[in-house]
Amino acid sequence: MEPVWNGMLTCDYERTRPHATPFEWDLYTRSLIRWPLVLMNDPEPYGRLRRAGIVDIPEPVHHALTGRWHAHLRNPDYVADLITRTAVDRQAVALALDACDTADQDNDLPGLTAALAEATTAFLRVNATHIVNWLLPEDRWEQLLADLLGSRDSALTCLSALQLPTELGHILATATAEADILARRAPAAARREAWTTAALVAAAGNDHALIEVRALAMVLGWAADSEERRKELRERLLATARAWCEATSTDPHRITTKDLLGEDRHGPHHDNQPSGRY
Amino acid sequence: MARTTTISLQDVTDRARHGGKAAALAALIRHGLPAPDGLVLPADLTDAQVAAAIDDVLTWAASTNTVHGLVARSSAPAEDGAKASFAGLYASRFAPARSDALLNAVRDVRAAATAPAIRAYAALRNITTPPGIAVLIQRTIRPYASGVLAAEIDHGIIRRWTLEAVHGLAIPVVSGTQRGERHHSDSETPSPAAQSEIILPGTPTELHQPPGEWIILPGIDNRPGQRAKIRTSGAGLLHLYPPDTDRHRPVLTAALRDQLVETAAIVAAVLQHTSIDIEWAVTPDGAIHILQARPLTSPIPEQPTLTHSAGTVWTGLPAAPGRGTGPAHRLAAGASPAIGPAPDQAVILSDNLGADALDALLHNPAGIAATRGGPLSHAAIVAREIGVPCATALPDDLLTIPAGTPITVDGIAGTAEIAAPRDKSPRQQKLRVAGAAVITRPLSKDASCDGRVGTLLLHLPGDRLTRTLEETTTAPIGVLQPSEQPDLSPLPPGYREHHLPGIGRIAWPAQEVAIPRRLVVLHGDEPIFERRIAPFDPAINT
Repeated sequence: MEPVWNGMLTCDYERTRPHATPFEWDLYTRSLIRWPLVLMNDPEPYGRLRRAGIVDIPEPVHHALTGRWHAHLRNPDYVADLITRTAVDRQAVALALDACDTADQDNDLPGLTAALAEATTAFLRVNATHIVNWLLPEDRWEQLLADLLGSRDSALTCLSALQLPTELGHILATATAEADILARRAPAAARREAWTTAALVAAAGNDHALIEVRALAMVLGWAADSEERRKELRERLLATARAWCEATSTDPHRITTKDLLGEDRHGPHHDNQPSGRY
Repeated sequence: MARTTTISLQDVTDRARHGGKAAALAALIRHGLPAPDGLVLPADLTDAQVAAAIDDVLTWAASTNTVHGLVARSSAPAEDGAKASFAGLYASRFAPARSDALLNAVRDVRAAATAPAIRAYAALRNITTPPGIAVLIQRTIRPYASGVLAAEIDHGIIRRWTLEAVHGLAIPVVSGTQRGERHHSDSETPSPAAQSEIILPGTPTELHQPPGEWIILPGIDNRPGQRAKIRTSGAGLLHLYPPDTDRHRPVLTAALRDQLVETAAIVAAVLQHTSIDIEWAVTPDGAIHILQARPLTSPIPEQPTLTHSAGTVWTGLPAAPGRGTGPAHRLAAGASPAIGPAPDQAVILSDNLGADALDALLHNPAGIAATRGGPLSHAAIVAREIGVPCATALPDDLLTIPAGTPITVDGIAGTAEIAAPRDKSPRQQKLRVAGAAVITRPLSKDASCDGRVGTLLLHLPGDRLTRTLEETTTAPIGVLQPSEQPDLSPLPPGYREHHLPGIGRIAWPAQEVAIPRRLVVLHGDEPIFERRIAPFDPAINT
């Protein structure tokens, strides 16, 4: 996110992902604009597209939407629902990509095209969660935990400990000796457990703080998990898109999301469904 | 307004009325040296006279190329003197060649002359600063590179010199916010720049471009420069991200560097100084421009033997807790084949980490310092998973430090630091388990001989109280609910419920006389948090 300029925030994936294809930029910008819809059923778009790779967000829109989302993130029921829904979204992408693999193995180009359209549509929902990289209320959480735990150091240690994926991160998951990896990861899980307990005990007696701590602990674990799984799905989708380009003699550096969704052939796909569609 | 309120820079001779900066530059112009021409608003003008003189300035500006705007610069009588430089204390403002913008810029420069820091500096140097300040107005140069050069001259020969250069304007170097490419007379090899932002004056069209759009940087020898993205813009200046391809390219050639040093010697001779400090700029045609010249007021520092020394700190984002110190071990992300292991207890330096870095990560690194990513980047997540301190989003020049340099990574502060011989350890108040009840969620059966008075299972309101409290441990086991509502009923047999004001409720064995007065949370065997229970009357809590 660039600094505010003339009342506008700019999200520039051309800069942050300089080696990405226009298709990948398109995935990011489309999913960024619709994160309020995907994550909180809010139809207000998060800014407007300048071009594939760049989104401009009026500052008041940014503050209004993040403010509403941050309020939701204090509610453990919302967070539990968010975790469930985004897991279902990821599952939908995985299933569509499985269908792509099957169609590819069967040399079924129409089947591959259709499945890839499904996978792309579904991935746009999953990719909306990439905003956890910079739109979480980390300053608020840091202050809350510093007040509860008594120091900024403890707050930062706690926040860091809680940002642990529930499953193996994808780099560690590539290790062959899985038992050894799990053993190495056990201390991190124990640290997360200890700091979750510490934060809850620190909030004891203050029901508002207690609820917020419960919610933030869930959000931080979800965010780490969500990012790990999203990246795996993104790599699978991009690889499948390259395979589709090869099968259709299309230049992978020129395709856009629109091409894969088949909007030109079949009319536009509608991905304006609110959360909970699946 | 009469033209007599302003004076052409080359005609300036009165240091008291037109300031030290203008007087020095005027002398250079008169000797044919390449200082940009300008107009000076004398120090004794009233605010009304200054406002009236702006049209005069714009008339002059119309005769020169002001596509990149004008710059209003302080020129105080005591500035750039032999006793004191006042470097960085007065102001410069960039503005388009429009009356409102230029007048605001001039007013800002004049107002900055009354800053408390200037009075304090003058008092420290035992200098009297007369009221008022002259303002020098020049057309803005859009340089390929610029910087500062300090030199000591002995009988017309430069003995020692040092030079710092950046792409674009020298603002980042002069303000000390970024490190330029450093050249020194004691070394043939410059130390590379760590430039995170290029600042250039913009055309009106460029200044209307939003962040994310591209600007062509000024090249050298009239070759087009690289493309750079706008980070932001304002006050007549573009703030640009340096292109990746420029990061490791030298700013100055040896020939250009030598030309700058020779120019400094001539400037010193003209101004009759035995030491000289110049601010310079080089435009795409290869021309050198002298923007400021003054005597050195402190000796030239020695050439550092290392690019970075003990205590150098890079600040990024905290990513995985803890502090770790070890020799630097550089990994290049994406390298193929596999990067291979780092030595045990090394600090891994990387731009970002990919799966190919796994071997190194599993060789017990002392820490990870990455120049990319945030708390949810690969590096951060892996570091937390394997319990290694990690900081991310650190400045790129961290990667230039020599292998083996001792580095401390602080995953709480989000810093990497060249370690002093004896690494400092954080002082923390030691928490004790003895005499406290340990709060836990999963029950550890073998931890009850550490002096605790008991174990309290954390029970969140709304959850069902399903855990058995009949575990085989030597210390009592109870339940803590961190909220005063609802009550804990139904309780297991042999338990009583106590209301802890300000904390919540506990279920505690009825036969135990003492209720815990101190609660601790453990990470392993180490207490990480303690909470005391205020005294209360048990009679009203049963």
